[in-house]
Amino acid sequence: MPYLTFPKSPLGAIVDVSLLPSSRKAAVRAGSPTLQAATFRMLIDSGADRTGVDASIIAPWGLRRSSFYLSGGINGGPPSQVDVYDLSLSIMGMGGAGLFYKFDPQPIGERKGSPFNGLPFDGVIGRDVLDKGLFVYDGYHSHCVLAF
Amino acid sequence: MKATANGSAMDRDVEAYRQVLPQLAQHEGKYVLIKSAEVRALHETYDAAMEAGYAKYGDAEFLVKEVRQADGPLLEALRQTCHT
Repeated sequence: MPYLTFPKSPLGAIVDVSLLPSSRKAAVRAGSPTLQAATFRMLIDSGADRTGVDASIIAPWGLRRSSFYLSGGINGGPPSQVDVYDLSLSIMGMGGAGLFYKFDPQPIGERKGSPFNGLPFDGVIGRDVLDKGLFVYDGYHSHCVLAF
Repeated sequence: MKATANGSAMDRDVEAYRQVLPQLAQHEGKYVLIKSAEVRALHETYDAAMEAGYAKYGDAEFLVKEVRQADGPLLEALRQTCHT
């Protein structure tokens, strides 16, 4: 089981990622222009049910959503619809070490309203991804271990 | 099962899901494939439904959704919010 060890930042466990449409989505788009991968950082958030990224990352690709889920509706607030896209999520090694692990396909929700504005990450990796592996936070050494 | 609604193709598909949800009560947890506001198939997994959608419709619009009866009230509330 390959694993990735990295220091926890002051704002949590943050990893470099690369995002693209899933390979099966790319296959049905054969003949269309090749899309450029988006590279950014994501927070590993074991409190989040689902993985999601800022809408501005997905929008330039002009993809159609594949699914949706409903969020909110708690504490009297109105529910909201979160569109889901069929993507490929690559978690990169630390310090430009290349690919650590790829999830292809991976359904990923589109977070609207710039929820990560001002933060050093543009999305969260939730339990839908973490459920496939092991995530350990070593608080004493302020390190994290991720294994799939 | 065919539903009718206005809006974009995907909005129609979401509305179709809302309308047929009560009829899918015995399929809780399965994944429904909706195309052009019509339920086309039910699958055991998200990936199976997506593969079937790509195989049949290519890059055209279709919707895959886990059947969750709990979505009913939320979709109704969302619908009311959109209409006010």
